[in-house]
Order: sequence, then C-alpha cells, then structure tokens
Amino acid sequence: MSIPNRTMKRFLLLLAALSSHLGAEEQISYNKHIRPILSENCFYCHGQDPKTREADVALHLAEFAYKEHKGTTPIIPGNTEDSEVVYRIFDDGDPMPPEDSNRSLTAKQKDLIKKWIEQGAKYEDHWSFVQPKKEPVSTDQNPVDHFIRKRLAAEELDPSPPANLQTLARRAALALTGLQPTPTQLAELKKHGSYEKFVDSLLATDAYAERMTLFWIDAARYADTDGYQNDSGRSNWPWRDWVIDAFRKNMPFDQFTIEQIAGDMLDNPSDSQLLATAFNRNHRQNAEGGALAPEFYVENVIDRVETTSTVWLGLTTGCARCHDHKYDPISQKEFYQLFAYFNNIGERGTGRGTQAQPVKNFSSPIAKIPESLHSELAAANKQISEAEKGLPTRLREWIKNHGRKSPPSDWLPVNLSSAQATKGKLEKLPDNTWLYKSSASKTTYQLRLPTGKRTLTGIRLDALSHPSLKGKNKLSLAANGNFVLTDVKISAKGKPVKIAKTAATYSQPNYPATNATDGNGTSGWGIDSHPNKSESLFLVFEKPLTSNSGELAIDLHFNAGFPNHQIGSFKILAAEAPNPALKTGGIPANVLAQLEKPTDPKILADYHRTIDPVLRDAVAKRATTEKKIAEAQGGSVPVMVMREKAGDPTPSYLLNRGQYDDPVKDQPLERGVIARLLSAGAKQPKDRLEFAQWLISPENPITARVTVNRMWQHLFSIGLVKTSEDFGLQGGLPSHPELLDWLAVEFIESGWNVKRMYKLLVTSESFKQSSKSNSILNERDPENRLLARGPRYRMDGFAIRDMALHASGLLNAQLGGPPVKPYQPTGLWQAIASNAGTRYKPSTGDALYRKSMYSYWKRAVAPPRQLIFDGSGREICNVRHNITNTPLQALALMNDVTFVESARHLAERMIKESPEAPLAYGYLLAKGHQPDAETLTILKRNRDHFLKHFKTAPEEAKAYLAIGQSKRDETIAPVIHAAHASTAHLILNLDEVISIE
Amino acid sequence: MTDPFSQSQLLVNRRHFFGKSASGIGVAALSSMLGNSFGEKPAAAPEPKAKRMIYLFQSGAPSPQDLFDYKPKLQEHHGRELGDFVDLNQRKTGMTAGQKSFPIAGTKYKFKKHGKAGTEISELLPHISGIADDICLIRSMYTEAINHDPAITFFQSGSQIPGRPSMGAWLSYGLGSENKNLPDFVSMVSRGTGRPNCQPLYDRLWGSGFLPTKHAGVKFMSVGDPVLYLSNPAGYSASARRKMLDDLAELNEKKLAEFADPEIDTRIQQYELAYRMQTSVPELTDISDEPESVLNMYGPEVKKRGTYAYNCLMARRLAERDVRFVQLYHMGWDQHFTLPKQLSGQCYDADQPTAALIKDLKMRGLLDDTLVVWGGEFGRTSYCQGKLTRENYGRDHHPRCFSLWAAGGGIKPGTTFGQTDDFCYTLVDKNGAPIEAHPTKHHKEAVHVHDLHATLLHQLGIDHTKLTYKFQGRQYRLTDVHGHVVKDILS
Repeated sequence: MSIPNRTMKRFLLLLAALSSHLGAEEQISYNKHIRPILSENCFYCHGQDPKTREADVALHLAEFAYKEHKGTTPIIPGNTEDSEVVYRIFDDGDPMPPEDSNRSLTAKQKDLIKKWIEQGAKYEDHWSFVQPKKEPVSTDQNPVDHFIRKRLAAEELDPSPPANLQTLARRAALALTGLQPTPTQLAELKKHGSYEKFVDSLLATDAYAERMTLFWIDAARYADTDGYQNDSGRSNWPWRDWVIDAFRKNMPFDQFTIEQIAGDMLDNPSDSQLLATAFNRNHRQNAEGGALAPEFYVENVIDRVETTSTVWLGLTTGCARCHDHKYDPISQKEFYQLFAYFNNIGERGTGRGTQAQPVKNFSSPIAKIPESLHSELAAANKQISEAEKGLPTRLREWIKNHGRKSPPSDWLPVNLSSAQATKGKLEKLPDNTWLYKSSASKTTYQLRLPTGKRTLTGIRLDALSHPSLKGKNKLSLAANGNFVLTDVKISAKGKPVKIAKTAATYSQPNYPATNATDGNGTSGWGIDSHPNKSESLFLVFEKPLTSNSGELAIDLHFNAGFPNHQIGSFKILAAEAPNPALKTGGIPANVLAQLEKPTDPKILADYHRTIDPVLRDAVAKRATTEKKIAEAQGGSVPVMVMREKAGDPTPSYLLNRGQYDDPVKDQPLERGVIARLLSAGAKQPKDRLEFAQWLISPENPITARVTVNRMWQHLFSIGLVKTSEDFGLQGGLPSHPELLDWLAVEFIESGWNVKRMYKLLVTSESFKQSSKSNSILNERDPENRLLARGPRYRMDGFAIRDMALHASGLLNAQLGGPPVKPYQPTGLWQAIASNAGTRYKPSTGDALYRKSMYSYWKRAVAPPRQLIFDGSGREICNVRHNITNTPLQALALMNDVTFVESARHLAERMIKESPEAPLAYGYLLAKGHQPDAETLTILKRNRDHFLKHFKTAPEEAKAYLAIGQSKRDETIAPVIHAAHASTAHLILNLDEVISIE
Repeated sequence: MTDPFSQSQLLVNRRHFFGKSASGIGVAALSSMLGNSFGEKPAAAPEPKAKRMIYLFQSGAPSPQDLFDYKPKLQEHHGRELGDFVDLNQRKTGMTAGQKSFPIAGTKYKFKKHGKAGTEISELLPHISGIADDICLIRSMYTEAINHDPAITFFQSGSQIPGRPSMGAWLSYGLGSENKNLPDFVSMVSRGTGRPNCQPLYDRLWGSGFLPTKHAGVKFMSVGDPVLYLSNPAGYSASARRKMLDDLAELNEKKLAEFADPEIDTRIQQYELAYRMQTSVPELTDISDEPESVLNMYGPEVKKRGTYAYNCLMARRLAERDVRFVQLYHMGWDQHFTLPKQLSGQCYDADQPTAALIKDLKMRGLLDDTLVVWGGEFGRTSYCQGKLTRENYGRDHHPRCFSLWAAGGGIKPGTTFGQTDDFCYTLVDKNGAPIEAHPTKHHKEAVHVHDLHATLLHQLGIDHTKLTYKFQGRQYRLTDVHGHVVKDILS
C-alpha cells in the first residue's frame, strides 16, 4: 500500500489552491482558519467537556485560553514568545498534540496558529450560531451569481458559458421533478423559448412535490416496516402523502415545521395537523420478544431528538447522549432537556408500530378514486336495488318450490343489541352480520344479545367469509385468512353461563373447538386454510336460559397474539330446542312453522332475504367494488402520531452514559433548547409547540441556513456547506458564507417560500452554465464547489429508474396511496426473514410502474436497486448521500428486469412513434435532445449489429422480448423489436443518460 | 499496459482522497490511518498476521453450556433454583423476567477433552472436537445487548444502533481489495434446520453505514444469481453483452472527451469490472472442479446452495481468491424452548462443514494467513425458560458471558482463554474471583465485543484506534472509544 508521489503532489497543490492565499498582511480568521485546526486537534482534550479536559487547559473560548494557569498562559494575544500554545506546538521534544493522540499539526497549520496569535488571537463566535445577515447585492443579476462570481473572480477563474436550452431543460426537470422532460414539454419550451416559464411549469407539477417529498422522507427515516427484528409492516404512508400535499400547495416552511413537530398541540388541531406529526413517529419500533419497554422508549425519544436536530438545526446532538459534546456547545444535560420536549406522548416503547400508541387511523389526503370505480360502484348499487325489487316475486317462488323440502334447523339467526371490540371497530352490515375492520394482534369482541321471551339452549357463532378479508377462505384479515378464538365467555346478569358441549364444523389440527371454552386464555379454536366458505362454532349451555335472563354478554377473546387472527365477519345464531343438533344447514324451526302456517309474513321475508342468491350476489359484488375503492385509496390505516399527554409532563432526567436504566433521579430537568442558540434574554420554549415555533423564529440563527443548504444540495449535489448534516464546529465551512446567509435571510423574508427559493437557484447563471469540465478545473476544484462550471452528477437510484420508465412510457403517474412492490430479485426477503415462508410478492399490472418513491421500504431488506445506488437504509435520519460508482450499479443497469422491460417499451415507442428516425427519437426520449451525428452513427451501428444478430437467433429475440410482465406489441416483428430494444437498453446505460448534466 | 481497474481507483482517489467523505477504495482510509496530514510519518501499524478473514457467525446465540463451557455443577443441581447459588442481579429479558422460578438446566450432553490441548467440547460437535488443536476457545466473551437485533448489530458494527459500518465494510475501507474481479466483502446466509423459523437478519449487518456504499458487503444469494443482477437477461448472450459494452464504452469515452468528468472514466472501468464479474463469479460458484474427497469432507449438504456447508465451501473458494472478508450467517441458534431437539439440528448443520473448512484451509496452507471466527451474539441462561424436564429445557438470552472460538491468522491454536463461574452466570478470573467487566473497566481475562474487534483488526495489521472515518464531525471507528487487543490469545 503506497501513495504514488504524483497523487501526493497534486494534493498539496490542490490544498494550496483551495486555501486562500495567505500573504504576510492577510488577516487570519478564527472561524475560517484556526477553529478547524483547533477543533480537529486540540478540543478533544482542551475543549468544552470538562470531563475529558487535560491539565485544566481549554482553548475553545478566549476566557479560558487567555487565562494564566500554573504560571503559564496558553494564549497571550499579540505575544507569540510567551504563549504556551506556540511553545508547545513547536516543541519537537514534547509536542502538542502528543504523539500518541493520533493527531498532529502540519508546519503550515502551526504557522497559521502562530500568525493568528501574533495578530491578536481574536476569537469569533462559531459562524452558524451567529444571526445571518444579508450582504447588499446588485439588482442587475441573480443574487446567487453575485456571490459565486465574486469568489470565482478572487480565484481567478471564469464561469462557463450557459448550457444550451435543451440540456438545461433536462437538468432543471430532473433536479426539480426527478423526470426528464417529454418531447411535448420540449416542443412547448422551444415555442416560447422562456426557461423561466419552463421552470414555473415544472414547479407546478405533482412530480415536483413528489421529488421534494422523496428528499424529505429520506431525512425523516420514513419506512414501511418497524425495523427491528421481525421487521413487521406499518402503515405510516398517509403521512408521506401529507408531505406531498404540503409541497404541492407550497406550504410555507414555518407552517410545515410547526405542523410536523407539534400539530397535535395546536388549538383544535385538524386531522391533517395530527397526521403531520407522524414525522416524529417514523422511528424504528422494537417488538422483539423480551425487548424491554423502558429501554426502547428511551431509544425512540432519542431518535426523535437526533432526527429533529439534524433536520432543523444541522447539529449532531446525539454525541451529547453519553457525555458533553466534545466540539459543539451542547452539554449532556442540554441533550436531555431537548429529550424532555419529545417524551410526553404516553408511548410504551415496544410493540408493533401499528399498535404503538398514540396511533390514529388516517386515509391518504391526496389519493383519488379512479373514475372507473365510481361507475362500478353505481352499477353495483343499482344491481342491489333491482335485486330488492324482485324479492317478493322470488319469495313466492321459493315458498312454492323449495321451502317445504328443506330440513329443519335448530338454529335461528338473532339480532345483537350491540357489538364492540376492545381494540378496533366492529361494523354492522345490512344482512345483520358484523365486520371487524381493524388491525390488531389481540382484541376482545363484546357482544350483547337480548334474550327476550325466548328460552335459549345454545349459541352458534358463524365465521363468514367476506370479500374484504384475506386468505383462501377470506375469514380474517390475517394474510393467510386464519383466525384463533382463544376464549368464549358468556354471562347473563353477571353470572357465567356454563357450557356443556362445544363443537365446530372444522378445526385446525391442534386447535380444537374445545380450546375456546377450556378457560385457558392461550389455547384456542383455530381455522387454517380450508375449502369451506364459512365455519361454525356450537356452544350448548349446561342449563337452558329462561326468558327472564335479560341480556346475554358474549365475549370473544382473540389473544393468540398472531397478527390479525380475529374472526373478520360473523353472525350469531341461537337455539331454543333442547339438545340442538350440532350442524348447519336447514331452515330454522320458526321459519318452517311459518311455511306450514303463515301468520307473520315478515319472518319469512326476513329469512328469505338472507338466502336469496340474487340479492346475495349483488351484495357481494358491491363489497368487491368497495374493497377496490378502499384499495385505491389505501383505506384508512393506523398511523403513528404524536399526541401530547395531558397533565404534568413526564419527568426527564440526565441518563448516565446514555443508559436508560441509569437516570440521575435527584435532578429532574426542565425542557430547554441549547443555550448557545437562544438569543440573549429569550425565554426557553416551554413545550413542544413553543419549541417548534422557536425553530422557525427569526432569533434562531440556524434553521433557515440548514434548510436552504439542503435545497442547494438537492440541485448541485453538494451543499454550500458540504456536511449538510453538521453545521457544528466539526462540520465543513460554507464555500460561500455570504451567499448562504443571504439565501437564509431571503428564505425567511419570503415567508419561508420553498418554491420561490428553488426557482431562484435554478434560474441563476451558476446553475445554468455548461457542466463541461477540463483538466484545470478537475485539478483546481474537483468537487466543483466554486462553480466555475454547472453541476454534473449521477442521478440517484430513484430518478434513474423513473427516468427509464418515463422514457419507455411505462411510468404510472398515480399520486400517493399505499406502497407498491416493483420487481425485485427472488429470495431477498426469504433469505433473512424469521419465517422461512416470508416472500416478496411483487405487485401486478400498473402498480409495477409507479414512481420509485412509492416502493415498499422494508428496513431489514431495503429495495436492492436503491441500496446499490447509495440510498440510505431509512433506519435513522440521513440528509446526505455519497455518490459512488460501482460495478454493482453497472450490473443493475445491464440486467435488472426493470431496465430490460423499459428498453423493450422504449423500442416500441421508437418504432411506432418515429418510424423514420427511431434511434434519434429513443435518444431524445431519454436524453431530452437529438443525438449528434457521431452518437447516431454508433447507435445505428449497434442496432444494425443486433438486427443481424437476432436474425440468426430469433429464439433469443423472443426470449429477450418476453422479459417483464407487460405485454409486447405483437405488431412489431420480433427481430426488429429486439434489435431496437438492445439499442434502447444501451441508451439507458449511457453515463450521460443516468447523469444530470 | 497498466491495469485499467487500478487506474480507475487512482482516479477515484485523486478526486476524493481528501474530501471528508473519501470514497476511494481501501487507500482512502490511509489518510486517517497515517495520521491527520499527508506526508507525515505513518503511525506504527501492527505487523499483519492475516490477509483475510472468514467470520462464521452463528446467529441467535449458541448455548455455551451445551457446547463449549462444561459446568458439572449445573448437572448436579439440575432443577434447583439458580438463585440458591448465585445472586441473580443481572437483567433478564421480558421473556423470563416474569418467571416465578429459575430452575437450573444442566446440559444433557456429555463433554470430553480433545486434542493435545485437552479442550473440553460437547459430544454435539464431534468434528469441531477433531480440530481442537487448531482453535483458540474463548470462554470469557461478554456483550452489552440482551436482544437479538441490537446484539447482532453490535457484533457487526460496534454499536447497537444502526447507521455504523459493519466490520467487513471497515476492512474493505481500510485494506482495500486484493482481487480485482470479486468484491472485497462477501456475506452469505443459511437457515438452520434446528430451528427453521427463527430470529431474522437485516441488511445493515453487512451494510456500509456512513462509509461509501462500495464498501458494503455483497450478499451472495442462495437462489437466482449469486450476485444480484449478475446474469445477462434471457436471450442476451455473452457476445451480445460484449458488443453492447464496446459501444457503450465508445459513447462514454466520447462523452469523457467532451466533458472531462473523471466519473465517466470510472464508470467505463466499472462496466468492465461488472463484465469480468460475470465470468469470475460463475467460476467461483462452479464447484465441479472440487475433488470428491474435499466435498465429502464438508458433508452431505455441501452441494445444496444456501446450506451452511455450501457456504463454508464457498468461503474457502473466496479465501483462495483473496477476497478480504467473508461473513457467513447461520440462523436458528435461538433455543428458548426444546433446546435439545433444536440444538442437535443446528449442530448437524454447522459441525462438520466448519471443521472441514478449517482442515481444508490448513491443507492448502491458507489457515496461516486466514483468520476464522465462530460464534454468536451472546450467551444463554443457565436457568430454564419454560418447563424443565430431564429431557427437555430451553434457555433465554444471557449477555454477560459466552464462548466463541477463533483459528488461524496468528491466533494461538490449541488453547482456551478465560473462564466463567461454576454456574456459567458471570465471568471470573483464573482464581475464580468474579470480574466486573465493562468496556470502560478493562480486565485482561474478559473479552468484550470491542476487544474482539480490536484483536481481529490487529491480526489484519490494523491498529483499531487508527482506522477512523470522519462523519458528523466526529472520528468514528469500529471499536467506538474502547477495545483492547487480547494479546494472550495471539501466537
């Protein structure tokens, strides 16, 4: 392992080039030059954490550094002779930092420190903790360019000429919407020629809102599973749709902040404001058997503090969890004072996310029901009313033909006076059956049955299949349709009713019916996959219940703990005859009596309703449509939200070493924000709402900076402060501090107008210039921080896939709703899941081609395509991604079915929509402009090669074209189609196509 | 001609070497390992004893009491309350915290001394017993986490909270690649037959955390392509791919000439590497060149993809090809109930192939510079979880003491290190005095996870305090701010 000399030299040159030229006269700045050196090398032992301070010497503040200590003074302004610091850093015998510290100063750094002391050793506040101010700018250019050009001039670099309009259009479209412009958009742009107008049109699209949402949900560690151990699914996606809606409406960032951090604490919060608070509930949630609630309760709250700090304050407060921050002015105590804003929602700490209170059901604020479903529903309703109209006729037919031939039944359907579930909701359906619509692992149905004048000898529980339920039998909401009824308890007037006999039409092996009445709350009657449509449980009482028994209380306990293993739909029947037959079928005795001797036509009509096949068919059809509608909307699902507890706040303590079980109990902490960020004399925010208000108050120097910096990063790939997650002392310095401040103040003054800021940035000359580089710029400024050229970088994995789908015409632009499952190589889930049977089931049809931001995000096994292209794991907050360049990325683009199928459809468009110039058109669809002559020649050569190739191997052409679920356009000859698909696939692999340039 | 791959690395390095998120391969870590500034004298690094590592992670936590740490006292007092003998002051998981009784479960298995060293090992592991003289058995491991997810995450990344790089990612970052046609870091997963429905795993275990994703482990799949997206699409032959890549390179080179973005050059090289992987990976996984005698050594499951035996053979083939870090995960060691039945299944899976791997490496002279580690994430309780009978028992999680073994790569063979008390409840020193172990209170006979990491890195020639990466303003390392090299287990 050795570093080539050449590389080393280049580095030194580069270092020299990037640091400002320091002439003898140049003023040395503490923030710019000195603090980074001291912070990296000295503060660990001579900084603000007194616990790790050595020799009682601190250099982080003037008041410490200037103080005489045991006869020496670390720093005496203007006096390098007597400053101990100067002496020690140049002392080769006993140097500072010490040799064993893994830290050392270069000769240049030593000189800088010396010169700074010589010039008076003036300390400055850390730049990001000082109020930003707007430096005046000339009005004849975009303010962005004012600052960028000023620095370029100082560096003696020229900006690049503007990129051509088409290149620019693609750059802006991809950066703002994650999609390349369509030929139609490009034609329109050509017509009016106004880039600004084009930008406005981009900002008005849903795709813009989706793109911004993608950045935001990444930062918010949003995912579709809980993340620990078994990694159960959760359903916080309505919150994701809330974010889309907010960006779509261009919600001001201050409101965006307040609603997400403390929407629940606003006066009479709307549903939307409650939903917004899920931001802070996107943390992982541990449901591992044996996990200790107090431990993970603390982890959840800390995750909230860390995420909020990173996203709004750009501070790594997490470092202060175990000890005072080594570099930033955040004490451990302050960390737990922040903690105190977020620990008061009455959460438990463990358990599945969907049940991790506070949880509230929401549906998507934006999902639309497709028109086709509206008409399907209308048709279904019509069918029902028509079926009802025909009932009297069919009743007469039935009485005439079938009624008498049916055997009698001892069981009579009865009406419950009420039915409730301890968790979730039971709904009564028109045919007197009940439907459980919630998701729970444990719940109890509490049913009330008036006995009336009857004498009851037993109860029958029919578990019915319903289209909204799952599995083969559709008997429950569990994925397999199974249920386990752990206990049935019946009582009358508070006295338990004893059961003499228990039987069922079917029981899963090892889950016999008798388990439901054995008094053992863990065993139960279970149903697994079984061909019947419904199953019944018979309970015969030891003694008949006489008419004066009042209301029967029937409790059905579902405590097996398997998710959703409740009876999804049911009805209750009762027997009056002694020793009722333990079988289903037949006609109830009272109905039979009516057939013999009609006295009450209602009895016959009511009964007939429940068995009339025409009506039942119509009802079932409507249920199916309703299910489709619920699916299109994603239904109403549990979302983890914040809900501040009433009463005294939950006490907060400093946790020694960050350990949940080691609180310093004798010192309860008040809530408070980091003191250094609070302006002099300001009061500490007293609760989470005030905290949110403080975040976006003009007194807070940091939030606006952090936010505009992320906007910059979204467009240019590197922020003005490269460490967009860390604006503290160890973070990077802004490349253009005055510009960052200007933008921050502008953002506040604009009323936190997000779209306006993006527009300002993308309409700057700095964004618009050509991204061509050259050897000098590569050497001088390899990361393009100075912006002597426009941005050029590889797109993220989301945009790459969406771009390919968009070019091919496959992209399904549906907005919002539950997550979908695009193609994924087989075996990824099953390899590591706890249950060997866990499988990833890809979506079908259109759902396969939704935007990548809607892909189901399983934390234990994140979508492979995203991980390969540097996506974060969504386990913790992440606001910055590396952009790497790896062979696995090449393999994905070469072989992933998504890209092969996209290429096939792109080829179809090429052949069908532009038969004259298919190749140039294909290139245009992906790249947004015509190929130059040389490119076209190579593409043609490639296509012709594959024409020849597939002609000799037509079977290969067919196999290649069969990839992907979508249908092929059979009117195109396979060989021609496959050859064009090959070239289309080549186009989708081009560096320039997967890059923003 | 210079190798295009290393040239591309140079480009990467030149471009990113000194940024705070260096993304060069391997060499990128140099700057931190060399000290802060370039050109200064490198800090003394330990002499590397191993070039590569194979970590056989037994996920779920194998029971030390039944495998490696024989306790006659547990058998003697089988069924009596553990609290009668030791002060039950350690925390318990929520699964047994509510138990009214904590009866001692003595192992039902026989232990015997093996090898010249006389290492005591359970009858459940006859093959591993046969390599007793090649391994160093550590009986004084301890950790901090008590649940699987945090504990496994801790073992792989030095932190219970996700977001840190895994050990293999650190090695890829720190040592770079020796094989230009295969990834630096490969992970493989197998499911135990003892407990097929078991505690799961998570991608983060081989993830790169805040390191560039190129350092993440490449998970070899047991179905479909061994490496994701490796095979050409149906109907797309190798010659078609070659033509596509030639034309792609030509177009990308044209772009490079025009835009001078070094990333384009890197991309061209990465496509070529991808192409080479399309050959090198199938070559790797094609075991038809293995003699029957070798296959027999690994046992009957070796030809079945996705089994632990198959993965062990792959590990050897990867080691031969100088892949830096191979990590196997064998699932199913979480024996809360019906331990005897499940454990024998697990041992059937793991025993013979593990021993075969060691022997195979040894035969080829690879064991000397290959570090092999076998073990899980914590220990198990000496008291029974659930109903105790003579024939059946179960054990809950126990983080404060457990066993693990290492071999090769300069680890002292044929030795045991560290000890637990008579009830396998806590660590004790040579004289039997309890050790109050904590990462901040180092004891040289106790091996914390950080200590193990420090030791493994040391054998690979890395000072664990020097392999750092700056993220969120802080220099991070695998061992956090702890870790001591366990010198006593080094030869």
